[in-house]
Amino acid sequence: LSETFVGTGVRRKEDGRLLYGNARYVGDVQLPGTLTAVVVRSPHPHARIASIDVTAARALPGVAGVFTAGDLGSALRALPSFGQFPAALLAAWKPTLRPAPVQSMATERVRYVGEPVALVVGGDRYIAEDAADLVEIDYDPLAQVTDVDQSLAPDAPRLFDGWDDNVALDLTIGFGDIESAFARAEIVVRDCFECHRYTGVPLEGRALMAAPDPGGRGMTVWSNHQLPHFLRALICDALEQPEFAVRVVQCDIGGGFGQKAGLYPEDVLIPFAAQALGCPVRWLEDRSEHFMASSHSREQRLEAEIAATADGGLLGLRYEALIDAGAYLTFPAVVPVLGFAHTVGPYRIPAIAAVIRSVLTNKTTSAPYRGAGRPETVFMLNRLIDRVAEAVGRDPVDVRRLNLITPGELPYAPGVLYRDAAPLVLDSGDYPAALERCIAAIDYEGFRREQRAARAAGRQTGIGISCNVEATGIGPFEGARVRVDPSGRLAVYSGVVNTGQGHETVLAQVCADVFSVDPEQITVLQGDTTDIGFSRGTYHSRVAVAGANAVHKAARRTLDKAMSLAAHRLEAAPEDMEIREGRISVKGSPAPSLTLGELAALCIPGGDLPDGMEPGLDETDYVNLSAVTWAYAAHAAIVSVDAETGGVEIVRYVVVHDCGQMLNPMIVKGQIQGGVVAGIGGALLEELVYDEDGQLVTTSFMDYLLPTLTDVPEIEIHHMSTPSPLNTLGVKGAGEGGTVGPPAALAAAVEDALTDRGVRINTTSISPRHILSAIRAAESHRDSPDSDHQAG
Amino acid sequence: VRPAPFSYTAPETVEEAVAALADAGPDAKALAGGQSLLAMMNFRVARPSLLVDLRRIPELTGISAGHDSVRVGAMTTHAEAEYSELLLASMPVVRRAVTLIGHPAIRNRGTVGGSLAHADPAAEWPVVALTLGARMRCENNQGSRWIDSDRFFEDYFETALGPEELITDVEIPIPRRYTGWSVQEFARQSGAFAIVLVVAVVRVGDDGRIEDLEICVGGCGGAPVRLESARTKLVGERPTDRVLEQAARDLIDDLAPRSDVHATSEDRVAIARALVKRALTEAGAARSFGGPNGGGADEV
Repeated sequence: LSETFVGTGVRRKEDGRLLYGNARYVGDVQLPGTLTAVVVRSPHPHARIASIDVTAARALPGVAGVFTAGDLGSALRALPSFGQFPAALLAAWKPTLRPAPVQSMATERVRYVGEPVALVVGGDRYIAEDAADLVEIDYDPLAQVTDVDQSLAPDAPRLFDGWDDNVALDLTIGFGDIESAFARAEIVVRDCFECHRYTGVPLEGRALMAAPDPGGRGMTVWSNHQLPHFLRALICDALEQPEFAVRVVQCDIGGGFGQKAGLYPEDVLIPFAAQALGCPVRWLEDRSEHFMASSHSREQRLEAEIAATADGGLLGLRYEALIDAGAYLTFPAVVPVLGFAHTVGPYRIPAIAAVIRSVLTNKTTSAPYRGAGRPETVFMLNRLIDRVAEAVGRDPVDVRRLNLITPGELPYAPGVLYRDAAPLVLDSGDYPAALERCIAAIDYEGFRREQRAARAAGRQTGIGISCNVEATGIGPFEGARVRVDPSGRLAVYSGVVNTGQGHETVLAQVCADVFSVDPEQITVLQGDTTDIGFSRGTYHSRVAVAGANAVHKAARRTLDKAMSLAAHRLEAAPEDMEIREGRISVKGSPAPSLTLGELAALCIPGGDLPDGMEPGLDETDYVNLSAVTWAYAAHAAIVSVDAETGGVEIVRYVVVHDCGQMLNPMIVKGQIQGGVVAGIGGALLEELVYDEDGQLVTTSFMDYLLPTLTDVPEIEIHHMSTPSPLNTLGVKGAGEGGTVGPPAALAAAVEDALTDRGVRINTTSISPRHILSAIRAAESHRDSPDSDHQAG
Repeated sequence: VRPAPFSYTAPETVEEAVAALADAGPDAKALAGGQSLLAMMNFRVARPSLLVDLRRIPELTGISAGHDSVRVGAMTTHAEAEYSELLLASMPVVRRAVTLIGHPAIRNRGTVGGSLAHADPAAEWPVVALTLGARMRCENNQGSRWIDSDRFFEDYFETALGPEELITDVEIPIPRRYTGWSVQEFARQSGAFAIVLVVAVVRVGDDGRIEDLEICVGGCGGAPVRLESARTKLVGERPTDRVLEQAARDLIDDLAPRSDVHATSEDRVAIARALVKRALTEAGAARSFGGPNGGGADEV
């Protein structure tokens, strides 16, 4: 087997299971006597809980338990977050930060519609929902704030007593001489951009099932969390159990998108209820619950100004972000810092200064969702560049050409820290080449000619471009364990969790190449906390970088041991050994040899092992990652807009991207496609809407529209591949990149289509409502040219 | 989301069904295809004490031809209507509208009578029924009556149907006197509810002037709206771009739709104006009513 698998489109190992209906989700775990939990949620956006009476609910036949905050004991607690600022960033930036963590259950006060107030456990879901209806809660409603303007008003109701405003985070970051940049500017463009609230919406909602050991020796928890080791730590703290007593097992997962990376009240409540009742308890989030109980994302307002020379060369960027954080601050650092960091490239901007505030409102908590702060500022940045192009009278592509950082300028280190507290360094790539390939693929010049003809025929078509960088593969570490079985088959254990991306395939490919075996001989087992001691989990486009390099390292370590044992048994030096098709022999002489299976069978206690060798062909290793590695992309969209209805049709969509060495180009393509579809959904269809009373209006798929196959065009993807200099495999992450470019590219395309009407698209939502409103704004602006009305 | 407790019965005749509804009183609900009712029950928005399932009643099914009309049994599914050769041949406008209802899975379960009785203002059947002047045969345990579509639809999810009354049949006049038709629907995505829906039938004479027309709008108020003044404004006119542009502006004057997450009131009126013009343009340009291409339609 001289073939190597890394870099080839190996078919997905997990698809047989997933596509034939043989996957096992949390809802499929079968244990006798399993009870069903239902969460009683606040119907008020902001209220004091005057009293709770659970008598009638407890009395309903079939109800096993009803729990309120007072029943929880040590399980009543503030939930931790892995999205905190590292100490080094706190020291460097000195943000004003007020902790506002989520509680495992509301005690005296609720702050959003959907906040858990009680937990009902019954024999089945029907009974539990009937009982939930019977929980009587008296609320004293408080005035609510439903947007950042209301929240920042001097007399606004406060979400937390003792706060002098509702600002949970106030952060100033920057680099370069921003004052002199604006002083030297020949052009300054100012604009305000609104990013709307939408979120991940995985096919499978959040879910947990907890089964206590009948003998009192701990608990097994099946979950679909993206960070099983983190979840285990929370459960151990809440239930006052040692880590060895709690086993968290990840089932198959129907999508995560970051929504399953946060910790939620149910993550404590379900294990607590199982322990309290002494039997298995399962909770499956239903769809309407998901919309109010799982994190929202993206909503922020960005007021920005950009300084440029008369030919469009960028000098400086200054912006203020107001992030609508919802009711609690769960990931203080992520969206603010990632947002800022992704204005640093791919354009050369010598000075950037940002003031970022996360403001609390009486809405579901906002947290990172696929893209995690990147799509918002990438939208702002690319819209600003389009505005600069307009101001200096140049084509937007030419202004991009002028400002893209060139390969010769890499590594590019502007002197600011990244979210992991390491210096931000754009490590490798060719950003101008990505733009040029994208422009060529979509035939930019050809489209401009067609556009004139279309316009003459009464059709409004437009083109939009966006370029972005993407930080991937955050540390600080990840691990893997590789075990050779006496059968000759191998197992890879990893703490990173597969939410559908294809990890089983790519991790097997990496391991297969190390041992010169077929990936079919390798079983990848992910997300069981008993299989590996430490793991960070799945987020920040990190699995290909952190997870795969860890597998590579652990596989090498296991192979080295096998080589040493083989050398010992074949009476040769370890450095003279080689492996071919899973068989180890002395280099150049295929016989005698030992297979991996034979070596595993020999590597046992009391066996004939080299001095100092421990038994077991089963090694764990960890990689430490000192800095993120930067992927990048250029997106281009062509749209056709119906100016009478506000309808948008995407005619073409092209992505050129570079995620370094691709482990599996087919899977990378799928990741980019999925990301772009999510981006298209966010732009055209998805929006979480609250009314002025603080009620979430979009709680089903009738009102929250997800993109389906009929809504998306064929997405044309072109790969570039600049190996990352920062890790052994040369990989960069690809999980989130696809979502980052579409908001900017689509908004630019729609604006371009309506340019003869003077329409401005400054919102990430380009639903009919926003387009028609932007058209009306442009009309009233035309009618009264002195007005300072801002479209969108 | 699970429904609150309820009782269930599945009678085999209309007589048994209306008796069950009468016995149980106003908290009972007839279950047709369940595409709206069951979702409302799962959200516990609807909490009927009794469901009277109509699917075992043979007399409620079937599509049959009369002399000047087609009779559609209330429990006929959208899919049965979609694939009915009789409807396709006699009134392709109906078939076109039906294909815009939800997704295939919904059309396989949802029923004509259920859609009419539910009376969602953006649904296809009510607008089609109103445009073509259909009437509904309704029955309770006291007897039966016919209700014209002009009197049937009252407001958002409200009809002239009594609480213990069922639709048994829909009678749709065959629109022989028209020369063209159009169904214009703007929905945010394939299968989603319409934001605005316009159905038009037009007769254009040999001299190229409009001789007769009907045009109705869904999604712009509590009930589907017949644009009453269309006849006065357009009969005798040639359907030119200028005439129809002006007519569309005038005709939508009285619409007062509600705003929702998908479109504001203002948006809906603007979209209605565009669709009214497109519908009249398309229907006015056709010269033959029959067959799938007699009118044509666009889904945006």
